[in-house]
Amino acid sequence: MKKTVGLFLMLLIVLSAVYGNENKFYISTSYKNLLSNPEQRGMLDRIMDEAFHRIGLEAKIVFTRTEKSLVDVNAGLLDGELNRIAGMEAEYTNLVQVPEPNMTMHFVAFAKQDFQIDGWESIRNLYIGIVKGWKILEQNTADFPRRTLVPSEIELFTMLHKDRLDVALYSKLTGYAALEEMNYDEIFHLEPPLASRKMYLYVHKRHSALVPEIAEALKSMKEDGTYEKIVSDSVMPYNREE
Amino acid sequence: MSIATRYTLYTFLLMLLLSAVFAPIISVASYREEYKRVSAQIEQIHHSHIPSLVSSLWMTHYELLQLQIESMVQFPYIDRVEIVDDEGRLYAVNYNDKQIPELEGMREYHHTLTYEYRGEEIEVGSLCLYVNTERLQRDVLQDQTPLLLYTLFAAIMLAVAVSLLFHMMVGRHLRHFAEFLRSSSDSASLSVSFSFERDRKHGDELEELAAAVNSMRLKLRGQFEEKEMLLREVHHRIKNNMSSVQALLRMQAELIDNSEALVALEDAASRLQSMMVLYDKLYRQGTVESMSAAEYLPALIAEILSVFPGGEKVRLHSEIDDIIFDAQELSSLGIMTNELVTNSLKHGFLDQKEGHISVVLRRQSEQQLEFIYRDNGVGIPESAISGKAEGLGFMLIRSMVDQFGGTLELSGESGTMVRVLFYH
Repeated sequence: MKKTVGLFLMLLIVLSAVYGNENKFYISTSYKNLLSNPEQRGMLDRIMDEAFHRIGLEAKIVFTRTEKSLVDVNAGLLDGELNRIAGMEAEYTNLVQVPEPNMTMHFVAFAKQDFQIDGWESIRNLYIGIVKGWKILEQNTADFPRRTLVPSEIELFTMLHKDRLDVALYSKLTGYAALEEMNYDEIFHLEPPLASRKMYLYVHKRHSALVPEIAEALKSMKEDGTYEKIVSDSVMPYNREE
Repeated sequence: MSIATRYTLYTFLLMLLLSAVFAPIISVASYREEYKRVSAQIEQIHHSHIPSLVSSLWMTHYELLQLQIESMVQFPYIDRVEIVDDEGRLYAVNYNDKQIPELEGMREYHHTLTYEYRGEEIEVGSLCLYVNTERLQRDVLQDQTPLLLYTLFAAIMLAVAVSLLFHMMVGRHLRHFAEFLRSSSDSASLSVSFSFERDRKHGDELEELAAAVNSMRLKLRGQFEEKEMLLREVHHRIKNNMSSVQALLRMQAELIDNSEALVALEDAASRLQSMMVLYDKLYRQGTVESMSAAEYLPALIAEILSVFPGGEKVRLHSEIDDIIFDAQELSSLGIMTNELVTNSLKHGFLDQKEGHISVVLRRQSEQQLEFIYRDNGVGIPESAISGKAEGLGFMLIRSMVDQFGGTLELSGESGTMVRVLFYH
């Protein structure tokens, strides 16, 4: 029943996107953190809002579950996918990557003690925890003997807090936001990052014509300082390094 | 109460007794079986659920933990599940609007949940399962109710079936057999064989019984015939002896001059005559133990009238019902009749050309008989009626009436009237 109602709502959104209001651009995301949230006050929400505003469109961010998000956009039910690493178009052939990156995501190890780490192999024998569905983390730790997969960052950092993990692997920026929410101030991230990936906006191929315009808008935001200001405003409350 | 009815009653009582004994045993066994099943479920929970519960607690995945708790209360009779994590937080079934089951009457199963980490068993929480044993008992008892009702029904049906079968196979044949034995108890019918009215021969106990009884009846008949023959012989000899005694008495009477002695000897001979008639009748008929009064009394009176002087002047009227008496009773009845007839002949018709004697013996009611003797002679003197002065004859009559347990009524008006009421 819930599934049917969800599908019906989604169809309404798509139909209204296609036929109702041509100025609105529906972007799917599976985030619920400082990058994007239902209030659309996340960092990427604001960046997309500004970028699409500059090309004369209105960006509407829609929450979709992790696995379903890419599938729905690939099927053309939604117009774009908010934030993914490069190369997604190989599997999801209807997607087109906007060449100008949204941000660079640093995947780091959080810990309560200062382990000396240097890449994936240095944490092989530690008790590690990752959130299920994070592909880059799952792939790089697939054969690690002491790996625990948890449903969300809540369980991930709670386990670390209770000394049930040595390290918790997560995105640096959203990780600190979560820690702040959970008041776990004894946890910090280890340097260097295990991986850093540029993250890109993907649009359905029917919007291919918009790709250069969106890329140009993002670039111009970086050049005129708008981008930096949005990032600073969003990250400031959680950035312990500063 | 017939055997079939008692069979029904006893079978029913036996089944009730068996039910009363076995129902609790079956209930206890069912309860144990059910409890074993519940224990197996708990064992299953230990094996299948606890590892995942531990995993959820270890990962602090409380949403999953809640789902696991909800799934555990789906097991029958596990009404409450409580998990306390390592920080003392309680996780239990979300009953929403439902009433939370009371702990009273529940059996608790505690389990400490540990996770092996770095070679150590770390306690991550504890599990408590509450099994509703009261409901389990109640359900088992409820399950037994149809069985009890069925047993009761089966008891009734079995009892009725046993009764019917017994009646069909045994009871009615035995009743028929008893009727046959009752209706053929005289010596003449002892030679008639009995056989059960059944479609075919079974060679069973009933037929063995019939064969045994038939054989016994044949033997009895032989013994009866032998006994009858012996008795007839004895009676014949008695009669002959009486005849000899009577002849001696009459010879003696002819030789004496004393009138009183003469009368006494003639009376004695007359009384012997009444007994001789009886023994003669008994000897001549088939049986010697009993006889109808209708056969004996008229013959006796006719015999007395034929030998007594003046007897030919008397006209006899008799109404004697066909009532069977044994030989002893008939003998007494005969002596009484003899006394009355000889008394009429000696004293009643002295001046009369013709006398009338009426003898009646009839059944007045189911148990009471009436004997009435009348003549049209001079009647009984008042002294004899009052009993102040009576001869041996009336003394004998009174003695016979006492012997029968009867009442005697005498009247001397318009001839003699003697009425005796007695039970027979």
